[in-house]
Parts: sequence; structure tokens; C-alpha cells
Amino acid sequence: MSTDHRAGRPQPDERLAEALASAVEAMIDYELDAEARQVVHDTVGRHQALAQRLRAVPLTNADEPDFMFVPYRAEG
Amino acid sequence: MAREIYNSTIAELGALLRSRETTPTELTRLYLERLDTVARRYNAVVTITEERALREAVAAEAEMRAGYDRGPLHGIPWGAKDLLAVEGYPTTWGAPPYRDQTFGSDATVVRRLRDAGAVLVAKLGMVELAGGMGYKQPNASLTGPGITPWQADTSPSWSGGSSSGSGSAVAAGAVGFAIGSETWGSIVTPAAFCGITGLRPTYGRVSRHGAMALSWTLDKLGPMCRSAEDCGLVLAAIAGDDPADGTASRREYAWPPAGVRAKGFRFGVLSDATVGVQPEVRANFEASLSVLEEIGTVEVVSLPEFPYNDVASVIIQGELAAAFEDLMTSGDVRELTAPEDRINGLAALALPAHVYIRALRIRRLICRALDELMAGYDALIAPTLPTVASPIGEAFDRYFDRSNRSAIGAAANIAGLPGVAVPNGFGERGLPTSLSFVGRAWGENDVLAAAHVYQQRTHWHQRHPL
Repeated sequence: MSTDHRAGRPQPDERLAEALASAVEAMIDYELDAEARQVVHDTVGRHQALAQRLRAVPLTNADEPDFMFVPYRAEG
Repeated sequence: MAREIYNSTIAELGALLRSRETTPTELTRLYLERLDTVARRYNAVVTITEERALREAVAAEAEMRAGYDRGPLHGIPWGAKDLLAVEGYPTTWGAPPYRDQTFGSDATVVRRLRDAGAVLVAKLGMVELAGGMGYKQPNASLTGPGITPWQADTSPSWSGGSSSGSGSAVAAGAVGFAIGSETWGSIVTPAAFCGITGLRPTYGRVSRHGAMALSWTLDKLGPMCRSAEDCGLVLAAIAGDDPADGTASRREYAWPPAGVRAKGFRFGVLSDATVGVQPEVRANFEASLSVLEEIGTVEVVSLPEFPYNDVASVIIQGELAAAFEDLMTSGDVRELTAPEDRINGLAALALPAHVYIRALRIRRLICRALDELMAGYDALIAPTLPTVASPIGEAFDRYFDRSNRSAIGAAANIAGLPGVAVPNGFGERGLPTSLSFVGRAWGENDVLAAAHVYQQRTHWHQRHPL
């Protein structure tokens, strides 16, 4: 977990979690109650932890994602 | 008809049909009746497709009488997990917001089974949206919690999900076979908890056209039956490329293959296979290993080191956010049955794209590493699940600790590998335990052959709850 030594400021991860949770609320057409908001916040936090564990797997620029994309051309 | 006919395998039913000891119509009426009475007790049924079933049964009967035999599935009644589109009937996805949803044509799998002469008798219950919203307890379906037919009167327990109705209906002898789906565990879990045989094919073996998508790169459709042999017969009917699904492979598939093996198998046993499992699960697994040692070699192996559960979670979250964006942003998600399902998926809307893509990059490494490991084996072996089915009113995490379980489930699904789950005994509360064979990509016939020989030597698959 990264640390931010600037006194009085939330941890960068906490700021990201807050920002992403707010982004979710901005995307939906209804209001969340406090309990739901907390669930979203906590889940976003777990996603951050997931992302950190994925970052621990070393990858190079040459490691491509397993997409399936084939250019399309209609018959004829 | 003998009362046990409803527990017959496809092969046995086919023999009865061809010897005219029963007819497609008679068999269909039997299963329609059992769906409406027995299977409903387990919340296994969404819609009984009676009109279509009788029409197909009459047609099958006429064809067989005229000497036209479409093959092993001709006249066999089957049930479809209710994420498969069937023209003229609702396709609910197990979720209240979609209870009246209909589609104008059959899913490819449904069409292929019709062409094989099988008789569709029901749309079967499932966990809402195939479990993608993160349900944590059994009551997560518009048809109620799926219940395994085993010990249902004395110790009602969860059927497993998300193909809950498919598992229960096969175990209850209410269908000849069923089609389920698996993104991460949704065929093998109900197969295990309902004491039946379930096959998760290689990703791309079966067309997904007309099936609800939870995760486009993880979803697989597969047979749920009363034997491994039956799974092979069904897969042969539904496999193959499809212009409507660009991921469906052109690789040929046939069952039985020329020369089904009876011995000489190479098995790899995961070193952490029995970590955190219930004592009876461990005991039954070790007994299974003794059987497998009679038909091949058994070596201890370990999975390559990767964050399998994390990769699978991120891929699912990224894709379900796209698949159900409208449901979540509109607020219709609040109509889902399980309270946690109304909220848990929302955070996926904010999953950064680079995190999802990183998961796909790691996925490529996983696929190659697993294939290198599995090149030396016909199957990796492990208990399908660490426990028997949880009590019906209990949250899953209260019944077992999932943090210690083997990562083979996540690994196999990330890499799109085939797997077959077969019953291998009984455990706590008299409920079934299960053994899994996981194969190399496109190695369905290796795992099915091994499972078939195991079943010939053990007969657990011939035990039925009703």
C-alpha cells in the first residue's frame, strides 16, 4: 500500500477509492443510500487491491492481451 | 414402465426407445409430469415448454417409426438453463427485470438439439444473471433458491449455481439431460452438489449465440447429465463452428472417439488439492485416487504461480460492467432478488480499462504456462469443491472458507480449459461429493474417457436421490 507523508491528506489509494466511488454515483440515474454507497466504496477498494496484485506480475511491452479481433469484410 | 426409467442415462433411454419399450411421447409426458411435480419442489423450473415438447415428441416418434434415426439424442427430453433463447417462450435470465423477456429465435445450441431430435421440455432455473452480481447466499433467483434433491426433506441444501435448475432437474430425474453454462464454476458446482456429471467444454467448443452473456471471454455452454458418456453424446450434438459466434471453433468433435481408452491415463494431482476440504471430501478423493491408479499413473503437480482468482475476477468485472451497464445505470438492478446483487456489481462500472487489459495480458501468460504443464498429462485431478452443499438458509462464506481452496477452478476457466465433474461418494449430512478432471485445451475426450472409465469402476453416478 502506497503512503502519502503529506500531513492531513488522505492516502492516494483512499483518494482514488473516493473518486471512483463518486464516479459510479455520477454514472447511475438514482441515488444510493449510505449503506449502498459504502458497499460501492469498499468494492472499489477491493478492486484497487486486485489491481495492485496484478501489477506485481511482471510484463513487458511485448506481452499482448488475449483479445480476439479479426478485421471484417463481407462476402462478395 | 419401470419407475426408475426417469433416472436412465441417454444411452439407456435410447435403447428403450429403439426397442419400443417406450416412445418419445410417453417419455416426454413422464418428464413433463415430473417437472411439474417433483422438480418444482427444488425451484428447478421456470417454464415448462409443453406445447413445443409434445410437438417435438410426436415428430420424433413418427420419424423413428418410419426408420429415420437422427442419432443418440433422438426422442430424448432435455431442459435448457433459462439463459438460452427459445422462440415463443420467456427467457428470464433468472432475474425479475427480465421475467417477460422473449427472443425471436432459438439459441444455436437449442436449434442443434432440435435438429438432433431431442425434445425440449423446460426452461430451467438459474441464479440471476448467472451469478455475476456477486450473490452470497442461495436466494438469488426469481424462482427461489435452488435446492439439491439429495436429503431435501431432512437437510435442505443448496443445489449450487448458477446452473441450479439444470443440476436439480437432472438429479431429480425430471429431464433426460440439461444444458448449463459456466463462467467460473456454474456447471461443475451444481453438478457436484446435485451428484450428477457436468462437462465444461473448452471455451469456443460450443456456440454462445442466443445465450445471455455475462463474460464474453469466459462463458461456456455445456451438458449436465447422469454420466460422462452422456456428456460426450450431448457435446457431439452441440459442438461446432457457428457464423453467428465468431469464437466458436471449427475443430471437429465426435463421441465416442475412435478407440475409447480404458487405461494408460496420465493424471496430475494438484499438491494443494485437499487443502481446506471437509474430511469426507478428502477421504473420497483419496479413494478416487486409488481407482485412478488402477487405470494410469498419478503424479503430484503444482500450478504455475499466478494470481488466478484476481485475474478471473477482473475479467468478469470488466465484462459484466459492459454486459449489464444499462441494467445498473438505469436502476433496474434494484429489482434483483438477492439484496447484495442490487449493489455489488456497481463498482465494476469504475474499473479502469488498463486494469482489465492487464488481466488479459496475464491471461496469455497463464494459458501458455498451463499448457506447458498439462502437455504431460491427460487430466489434472482435484476435488470439485472443498465441501458438500451448504444448508439452504446459510450464506456461503459462513459454511466454508473459500480463501484456502485450490486455484484450479479459476485457472481452468481463465485458460478456457475443459473439465468434467463426477460424483465420487457422500459426505456430511449424506450429501454428494465430487471429483474433477481438468484437461488440456480441446482435450474433452481425454477427460471424458477417464471419467467414463472411473464411472464404470465405481458406479457413484448410478446412485439417485429419488
